[in-house]
Amino acid sequence: MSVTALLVFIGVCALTTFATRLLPFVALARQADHPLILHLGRYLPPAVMLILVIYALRDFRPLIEGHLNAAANGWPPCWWSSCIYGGAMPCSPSLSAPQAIWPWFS
Amino acid sequence: MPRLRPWKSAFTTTLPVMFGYLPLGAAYGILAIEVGVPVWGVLLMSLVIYAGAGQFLAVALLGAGAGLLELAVATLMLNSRHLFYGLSLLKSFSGAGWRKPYLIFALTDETYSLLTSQAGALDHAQAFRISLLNQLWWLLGSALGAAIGAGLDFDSRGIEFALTALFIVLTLEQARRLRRGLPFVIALFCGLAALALLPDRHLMLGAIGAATLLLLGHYRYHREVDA
Repeated sequence: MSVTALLVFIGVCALTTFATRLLPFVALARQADHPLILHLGRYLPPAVMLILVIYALRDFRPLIEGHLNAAANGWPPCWWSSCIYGGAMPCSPSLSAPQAIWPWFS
Repeated sequence: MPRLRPWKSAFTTTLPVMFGYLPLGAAYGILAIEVGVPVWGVLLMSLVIYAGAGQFLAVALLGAGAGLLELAVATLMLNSRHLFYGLSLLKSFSGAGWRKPYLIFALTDETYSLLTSQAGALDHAQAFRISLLNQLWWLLGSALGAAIGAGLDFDSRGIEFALTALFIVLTLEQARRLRRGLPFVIALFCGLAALALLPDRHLMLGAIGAATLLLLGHYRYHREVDA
């Protein structure tokens, strides 16, 4: 890739990234004191923090899906036993969570 | 020296981020060099883009010969969660003066976590120092990765868990200060639902979007109750 092409590539990525960060400040500049914005300013950061923790710990996804499947299947004894054993060994769910939950709504 | 004291405080605050950014930045630098980006290009990307996942994506698309439109759309989707960051910092960044453009530019996940965990009203000067130091760590990591390249030979697995640990501690700090369970209940529900139902690349946006909608609903409900 030529120097010019690389610079254009970097420039597009930089502008797009900055635009997503800048947009709320431009679009809602005059609403900074709106009660809704203040409400979001108070409650959204801690919510985002916990979501970041969940995202960072997503490697534990099979274990979590196992518990969700057991709960969705509505078998409390199995669910509780899987909770007990889940801490000691990984779960191997036979159904993915959407497949487990979908029959309830079909 | 009194003039260095604020910088020392900012340095201490950003230490956990440094432990995460150095290895991640190095990994990005190594990847970029392998794809064929020159060293100056690696550093330029960290200087003007400054988005960890966005830079990994850009390097991957560069290696795959992707077009500019594809790059723009992919970057927009990946970084769309930053829209919500700005939404919750609108009031805090008011009155930041000449620092505001840089504070907005440097709004990464980790900087957002540190800034929203500061007690009381946001000190714009301290926020600027924190943002600047965080980008410095990222630049340093990128430079290390570009300079050392694939020749780096030590097992660094797990070192980036410093960022996860930082998020956990800051979440606990926010819980202690807020003393309300509502945002955490909403986040737990949305996060776990997104984890179970959404693919990895849409997880963050889906979870944060859903949490924002629920908070909007909560605001509307209480406004009607109070009316």
